[in-house]
Amino acid sequence: MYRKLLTFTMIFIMIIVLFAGCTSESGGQLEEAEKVLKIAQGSEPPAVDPARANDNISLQIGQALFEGLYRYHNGEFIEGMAEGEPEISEDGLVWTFHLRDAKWSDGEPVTAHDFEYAWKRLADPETASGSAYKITDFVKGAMEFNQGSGSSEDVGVRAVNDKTLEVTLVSSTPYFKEIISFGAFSPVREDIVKEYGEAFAANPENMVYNGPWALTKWEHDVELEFEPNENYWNREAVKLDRVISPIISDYATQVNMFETGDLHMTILMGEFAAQYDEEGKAEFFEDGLSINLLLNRETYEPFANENIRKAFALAIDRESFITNIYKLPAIPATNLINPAIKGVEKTFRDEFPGDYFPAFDSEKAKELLQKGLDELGIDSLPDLELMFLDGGASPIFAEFLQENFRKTLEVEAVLTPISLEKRIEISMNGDYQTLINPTGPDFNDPMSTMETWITGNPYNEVKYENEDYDTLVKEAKGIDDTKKRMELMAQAEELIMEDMYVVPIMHNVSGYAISDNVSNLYPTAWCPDIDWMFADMEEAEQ
Amino acid sequence: MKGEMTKQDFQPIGKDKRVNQDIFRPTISYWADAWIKIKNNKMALISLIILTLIIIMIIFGPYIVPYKYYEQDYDNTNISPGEQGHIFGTDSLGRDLFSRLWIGGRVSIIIGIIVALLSMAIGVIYGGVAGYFGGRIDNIMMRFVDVMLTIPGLLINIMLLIVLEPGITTIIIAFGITGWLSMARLVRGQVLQLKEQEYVLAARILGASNRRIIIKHLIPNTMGPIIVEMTLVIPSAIFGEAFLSYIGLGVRPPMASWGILASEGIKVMRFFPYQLIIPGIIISLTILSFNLLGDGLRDALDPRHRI
Amino acid sequence: MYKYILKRIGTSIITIWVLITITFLLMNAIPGEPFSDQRKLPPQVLENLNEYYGLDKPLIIQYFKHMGNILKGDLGYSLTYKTRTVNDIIAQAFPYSAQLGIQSLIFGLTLGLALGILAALHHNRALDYITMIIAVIGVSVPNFIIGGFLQYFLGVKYQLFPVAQWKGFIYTILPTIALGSRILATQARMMRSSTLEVLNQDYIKAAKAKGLSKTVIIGNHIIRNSILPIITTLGPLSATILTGTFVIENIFAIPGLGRYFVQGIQDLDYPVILGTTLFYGVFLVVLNLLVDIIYGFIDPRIKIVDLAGDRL
Repeated sequence: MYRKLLTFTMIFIMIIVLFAGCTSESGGQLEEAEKVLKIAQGSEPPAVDPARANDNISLQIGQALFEGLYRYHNGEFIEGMAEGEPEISEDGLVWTFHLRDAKWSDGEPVTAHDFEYAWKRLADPETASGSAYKITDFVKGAMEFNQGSGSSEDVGVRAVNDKTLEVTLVSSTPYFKEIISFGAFSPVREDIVKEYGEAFAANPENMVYNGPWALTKWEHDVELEFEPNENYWNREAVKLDRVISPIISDYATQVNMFETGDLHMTILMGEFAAQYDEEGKAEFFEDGLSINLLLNRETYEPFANENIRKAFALAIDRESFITNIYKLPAIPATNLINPAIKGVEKTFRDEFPGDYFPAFDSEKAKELLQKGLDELGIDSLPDLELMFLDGGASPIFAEFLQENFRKTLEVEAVLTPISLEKRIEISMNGDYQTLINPTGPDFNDPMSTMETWITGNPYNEVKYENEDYDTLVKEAKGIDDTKKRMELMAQAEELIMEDMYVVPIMHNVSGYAISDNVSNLYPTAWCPDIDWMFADMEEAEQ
Repeated sequence: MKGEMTKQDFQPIGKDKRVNQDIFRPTISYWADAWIKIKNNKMALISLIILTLIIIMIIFGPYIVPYKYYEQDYDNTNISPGEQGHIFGTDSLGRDLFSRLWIGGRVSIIIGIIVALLSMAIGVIYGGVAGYFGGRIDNIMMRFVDVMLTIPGLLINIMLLIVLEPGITTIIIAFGITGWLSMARLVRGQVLQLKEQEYVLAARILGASNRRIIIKHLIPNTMGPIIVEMTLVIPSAIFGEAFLSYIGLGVRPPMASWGILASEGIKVMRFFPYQLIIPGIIISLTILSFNLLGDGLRDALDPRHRI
Repeated sequence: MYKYILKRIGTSIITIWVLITITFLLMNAIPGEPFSDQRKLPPQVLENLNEYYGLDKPLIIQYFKHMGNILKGDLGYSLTYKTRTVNDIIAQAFPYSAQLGIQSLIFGLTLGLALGILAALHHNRALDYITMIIAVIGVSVPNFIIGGFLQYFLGVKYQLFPVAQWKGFIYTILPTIALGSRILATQARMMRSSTLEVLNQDYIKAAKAKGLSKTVIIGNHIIRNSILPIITTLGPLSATILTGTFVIENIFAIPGLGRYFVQGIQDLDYPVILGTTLFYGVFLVVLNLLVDIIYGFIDPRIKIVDLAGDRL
């Protein structure tokens, strides 16, 4: 009998050894003491191609591999491919950029033609880019091209010569420099795209790099590996020898790996944030994200009544959620514009405080509810469908809201989680009653938020229609005087808060922990969301 | 000689024919016999007791504490068991876990019972008909079952739940659609065997209709394995629901289910292990008890199995 | 004999066809969602949407187009990972799942059998009780709870094993244990009870009287007789393992097909959901077919009577 058992065990062991051989041993030995940064990504990057990159991860990686005219780093927009500041015409409509001498990773020079090609490709309807609006909003002729009524020749981007790029805008845009630091405006090599077609940028071999890093390995859904791009114009600024980016979708696993030393950085949420904070190892920053609740009066009639809307706003116990459940030091929002956004000299919120309503007042909420019900002639509120994206803190926040609404407003909220696909669909057909909407500004100016709510804007999901608001915002868009612009937008904010179709919940704060020996690593509210491109390490790890 | 045995020492008792006919084991019904066997099976008995306790708690548990399962209490989140009147503590939204555990049990057990009943209803009819008529009809009907059985049930369940809105009813429908298949197979096998028995032949000679034979003779005699199968359907329904809830296709909040409690518990395991341990123990105990009970019933209801 | 094989192949083909049809119908039954291989367009190009969603053709034509695509092996592009085809994803991710699955199967079967026999041999002593406890845990605790526990206690707290990923053999240990636990438990229980049964038989007494040691007897009788049933259960076992991978891969960050499947469900990435379901279904059907054929060769009874109980 034991002989049979022994045979079994031997076969077992043999098979195991066979498997051990099969499993790839990767990420193993470091040759000399190298400075290798290990930083995780939350999911497989959907698309690194600048014209297709639409999510934080792809954009972040894009900032490592490519470089546009300017890039955002440590609080400023520093020079990238552009040398010096842009020349701006009198009327603010024509911007001219001078490019420095820079090379692609394959030795070819970076030319203005690469920019012209990339920007037109972004607007091209055939590319079907989700970021197309970034160029169609600002560059002359781009909108028409994208919608099929214009041609690519009429788009206001022109390579005057190899080193000069001329851009013509739709209207004067003082913050245009910030817009073009966004990853979609990185240059792209026409010959490479033509060579690989659909597979462009799908793998390391299918692209060339002009950014600080080159992608050496992309094991899909497992990890990415970067090495410095030797042809990068600012090679000395790149301090690390290698960067390894495993893909870890379960963030608790990320924290675990941080604690075992397998990662140099981790995001912190919930209980982890509280625990690390107690130990003094957590860092927090305003990530520019604001969480709002959108009220759709077209599908849920009571939302047409102002008192009902305000009742909902007041029924949410923001402080309690943040302190007891969220456990990150987020800010209960009683206004619309995120505190990370710039004003004239300081932040917009510093200069225009604006607390437009109490962060929680259940008594007042009940009062307003009653008034609203009377005005509507009904006894109680019908069931309400509450939608939210399935991930992060949204589900638990939805349950929180559900209970708040039940307790104070006596309304039954039905929770419906939705996928990203469905969210996009809803943004097109407006098929929701109320929706938890985390949103971040596209660029560092209140206009990014304010213009969303202009009548007729395709992103105006609550169909807000207020002529006075429209006038104020359009005026602010058309002038150059920053101080005046801010004042106009502050007035507009007051109006939209009065009407309360968009209910601010909180201005988010993200938590993270970074290994002590790592420096120059910045989580930011802008693109890239994690700036590791110029990070450094104290000493090489064994 | 003295010690020798002679013919005179022996007296024939004779063959009393009546004695041969006597059955020395008292006559008891099938069910009474089964009950005795169960009582003697320690594990099955303990399981039965545990299950009864759990069911009592599921029914009455939520009323013992003053907290409702959906009441959130933000000042008292993640409280350890035993403090402040929360017997099992609270979760991250401050909801009482004692209440939620038993409410969740209702969901899981109800799903299990209804699915078991559905499987029985459909499976018995389908399998009974197939087995009884045999031949071509049986062939076609069983081909269908075989084909459906090869496709993993969980995949079909997941797809159904994506199409319909997740919720208790949908889960029951999904499990029901895949659950009756094994029952049908089982019943059909039983019926195939039984219909060759002599008493069926006798009934037929006496002129009993097919319907009468199926209902009066075949089905009651397959009850044994059917009941066993039903007891085993329930724990797999609990398992299935837990799994679906973990990947997000379970019941919707604020309703609790055991699957939801388990997946929430895993999320906070390193900080508040009791939130996983307590539901984990109850879930495992229930599944185990059903399994042991099923085993015990299988032995008890098998007339050939003598203790 | 060959008639039997042909019959089984025929049934398998029908099964696959039914699977394709069911999944097609279900995908189309989803309210409001256009089913197409095309990518979704950004909100900006609203006007061109209707042309892109060629949904104006009747369902039957879509069905045949769908069939045609599948037979060609074209499963479309993922909606989430816009540059990757579903075929790519499956080809790249499945080997991880396969390795995990096979390891778990071997782990569960061999250890389960061994434990079961040993437990029976040491009936009512320490080894027996330990085995029963392990069996109880494996059968009643859902595998994702076991996985979570293992990851935390052995991985994070005591740092005995790596917490996640799949970069070397040692990474595979925790996931294998978690995934194989159920099988280990059920096999151990079954082996234990059947071994106990055999031990009580008269021919064992006879064999012992002959002078054979108990262990040799068991080895010869039990093991030989259990191989057969194990092959029959290989089909359902594989299905269990397969569905187990969904959760285990998630917990341990293993880039297998199960993880893509779950993600696809959460993102409603229809090509991925469809493609993966089809792949799994076909895989299991083929596996069952092979098992039945092998069984046909091994079990002499098959030659006379078909598995389904009819006469050949």
